[in-house]
Amino acid sequence: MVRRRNPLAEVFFLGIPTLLFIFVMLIPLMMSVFYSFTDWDGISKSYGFVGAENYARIFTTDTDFLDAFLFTAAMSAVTTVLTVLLGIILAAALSGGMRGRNILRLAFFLPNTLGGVVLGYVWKFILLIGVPYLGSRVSWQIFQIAWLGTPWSAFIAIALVSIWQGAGYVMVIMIAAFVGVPYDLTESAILDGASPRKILFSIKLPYCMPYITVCVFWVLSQTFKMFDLNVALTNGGPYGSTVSMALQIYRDAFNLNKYSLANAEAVIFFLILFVLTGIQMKVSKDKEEKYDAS
Amino acid sequence: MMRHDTVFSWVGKAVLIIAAILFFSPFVIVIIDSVKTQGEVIENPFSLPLELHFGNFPHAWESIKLGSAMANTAVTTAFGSLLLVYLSASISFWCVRHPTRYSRIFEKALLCSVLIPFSSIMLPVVKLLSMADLTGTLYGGIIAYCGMGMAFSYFVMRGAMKSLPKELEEAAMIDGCTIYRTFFSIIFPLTVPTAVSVLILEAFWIWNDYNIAVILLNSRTTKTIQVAIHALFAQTYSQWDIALPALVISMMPIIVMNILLQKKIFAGMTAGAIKG
Repeated sequence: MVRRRNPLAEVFFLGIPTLLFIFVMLIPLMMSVFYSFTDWDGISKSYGFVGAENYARIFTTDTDFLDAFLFTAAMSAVTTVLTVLLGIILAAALSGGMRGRNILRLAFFLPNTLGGVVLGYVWKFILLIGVPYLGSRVSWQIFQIAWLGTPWSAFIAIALVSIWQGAGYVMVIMIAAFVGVPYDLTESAILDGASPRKILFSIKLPYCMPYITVCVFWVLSQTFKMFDLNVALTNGGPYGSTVSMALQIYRDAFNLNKYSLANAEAVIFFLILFVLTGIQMKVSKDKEEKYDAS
Repeated sequence: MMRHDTVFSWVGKAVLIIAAILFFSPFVIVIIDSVKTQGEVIENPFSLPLELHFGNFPHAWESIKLGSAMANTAVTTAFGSLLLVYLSASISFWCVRHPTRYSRIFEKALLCSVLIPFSSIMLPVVKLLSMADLTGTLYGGIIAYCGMGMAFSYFVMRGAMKSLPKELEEAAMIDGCTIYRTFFSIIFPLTVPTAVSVLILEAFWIWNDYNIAVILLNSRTTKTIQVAIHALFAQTYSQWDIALPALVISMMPIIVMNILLQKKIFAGMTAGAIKG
């Protein structure tokens, strides 16, 4: 079919999306880059160019963002591994025809559909009121800790809540993945006398690798962007030990009036996620090619 | 062998059920404690209430103006997610079925934009919206949600658009259907199952979002439920007989949706992950 050019229809279908894209994504991103090379405080009428000074400050005098990076990276590493593991275990357990599986799935999945602020405060209540109460009754060490009071325990608390929130997502994706494993593959393995565990490790998991990759990078990018959980659970404390990158940018811009510095941090934040996603695309593509070749 | 497996599966089942109870218990504790008095909560957060103080709920509703926060969240969520469905259908219709040189460029740019986290563009977005006099209104928030959610929605819709046979549209054209009518009466209705997935995913995202809301919808009249809950806890979180009912109220719509739409939600998440 020969297509006639139809510029009017093009405007009709892509006009508003284009405007949204330009004004919400493109121009703001360029402005972020632009302001990161100035000394603007966000309010004054005039500002000057300072070159890469803001970037230099991040690595020399204003090192809070570096600390935030280290916190976020450590948190992402721990959380991603454990969330994906837990999610896969849950999916393996719940993808069979077990009775009552829907209600179990719901229990594991529910935290994922609630917002970080709400989840954070639910846990803040448990940790501030529930745990000390248990500590007054039972002498277990685990209940004697002021969970949000020391840097390392606050780290663990945020990690736990984050895993609690993310595992349900991985579970849902992996259930779909397991269901998609061709029946003849598992059937012939069963006929050969393979145990369910053997089938899981030797057939299902290798077959589902692309899905696992999706999950790993999803959790990774979610935890790298972590913001609301920190705000609700610890608000960055104690002693600023749990400030994530997104929270640091927010504070520098809105609480500390370091507007241009915050823009430089925003640009670095973007570059980090850009690289992460780039790696993801490369990994998925290599896998696909390998899969196609074999 | 057989025996061993059965024992293992019983132990496995028990562990699974205990794990599910542990996963769910924070919600149960909060819900139970929400109908207790402040004194009762502090004294023993794990006890059942002596009396059911349902009065906590209207009290919480009044004292932090949850009604207006709920209304703001509902309006933003409804408009944001419906617009995203329309926008993503419209983009995918053009990019998949009528690709032009411009549509290919736009598609690439849009796909790249999923890499941009909101935190790295939020400062200029605030500037731009205030220049357009849109800060402190729900419009500003809705525009930001549409801009930020467009790429992901498009990802999901593209799959559905690709799977429709070409002949449909050709037949419509031959019958004298305009391209607009083809889109609205023939193509869009066929993508409805996927559109529902997009709607659910984006509605959950907007309802739960704090990152965009705290920056663009933080004024007294536009506060969303997440912002209101945060403000409540930041000021007086030791007043549990207000804070806990407020938390429960904010969670209820999501919990109910989960129970009603579990299958649809799972399908949506899967579609989002695999096609995206």
